[in-house]
Amino acid sequence: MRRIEADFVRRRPPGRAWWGATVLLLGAAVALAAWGWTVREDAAGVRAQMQDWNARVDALAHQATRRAELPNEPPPAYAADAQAALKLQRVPVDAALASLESVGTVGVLPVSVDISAADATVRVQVEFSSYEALLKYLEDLNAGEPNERWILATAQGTAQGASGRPTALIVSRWRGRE
Amino acid sequence: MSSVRSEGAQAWLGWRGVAWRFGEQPWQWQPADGLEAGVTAVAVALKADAAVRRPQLTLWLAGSVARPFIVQPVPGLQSWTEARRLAEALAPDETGLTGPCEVWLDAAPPGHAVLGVAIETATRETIERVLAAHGVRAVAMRPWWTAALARALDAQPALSRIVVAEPESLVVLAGRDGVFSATATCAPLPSPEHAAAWLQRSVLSLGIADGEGVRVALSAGAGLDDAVMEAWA
Repeated sequence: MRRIEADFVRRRPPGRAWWGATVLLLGAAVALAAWGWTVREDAAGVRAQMQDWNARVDALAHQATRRAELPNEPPPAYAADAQAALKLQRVPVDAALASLESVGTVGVLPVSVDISAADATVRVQVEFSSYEALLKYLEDLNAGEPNERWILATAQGTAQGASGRPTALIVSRWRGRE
Repeated sequence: MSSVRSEGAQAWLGWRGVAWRFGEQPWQWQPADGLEAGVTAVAVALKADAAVRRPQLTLWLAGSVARPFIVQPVPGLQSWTEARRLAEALAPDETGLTGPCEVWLDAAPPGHAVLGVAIETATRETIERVLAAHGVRAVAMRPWWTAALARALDAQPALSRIVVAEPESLVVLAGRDGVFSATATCAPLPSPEHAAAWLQRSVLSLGIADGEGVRVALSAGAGLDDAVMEAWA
């Protein structure tokens, strides 16, 4: 013999309330899953955006750090030449040379022209025969200038140049293109 | 008893009496004039109990209400539904029940006799109708002798025959190796002398005099868990 599990209770089929609750639960589960998926997608987007921002912030911080560290670094080898070239651009060489070329005074002979880009000056060494001729040369150089541009820096009447004449140094200062 | 629920509301239903227990309260027995009156008494008591929030009931049917019988193999049966319909047609004649019956069929290998349990359709419908009228739901509706059989098998797995004595019926079951071979039901229960004579005749007619046997007796006024189990010589 063995156990007998006879049972005469009729199992009623699920009623409308049961089906309604089941449908509601299923709908809630689907809605919850969809909401979770949406939140997950949003979170992924926000995370990616935050990573992008972090990368940009890191790049900016790195760039700022490099900028802050730049003064401590030795200047590159070309820096001096580049700066000189840059400053040279600020000196109106053509105008200075045109002034020198447009003036011809008997008894004054320019022997050298030194253009200094560092302090934007043009130094002209001349040999002169007399102070009168030298002053006339200066007057001709500054003719038409609102201010006296060319200045007699030194005049060495006793010192003789290559030709045995006295020499003088005339300096003009240029600030920007004029 | 091993398979009898100790928690919840339980009731034993017979034609002439009813017993119930709610929770851990003691069993209460009450005579009844018919099954409908007994079910009504149980339902009313259950609804009146303030401690009961959800009126659910496990029903144990007396052997006089749900009766076992053997369905012999019938060649030509095509389906389980056909077998059950055949058993329902045989049930009144095999069990002594009157009117259309519903039959629960045990599982058995093809070509072997199978145990059936029959209940009158009107009886089951009456129980359901009365319980529904009182807002009580039946969670189980089982013959009590199945619980007694389970308890006996727990104690003696090699059991080959059992007689279950209830206040208004005697149920005899016999079989070996998981297969039932004979059943008999005596209801309504006659006098003790006549009942003893019926049992002796049944043992002889069914050929179940030999083997390990158990007698389980449920007395009116006692709890279902307090049924007496003793060897059946």
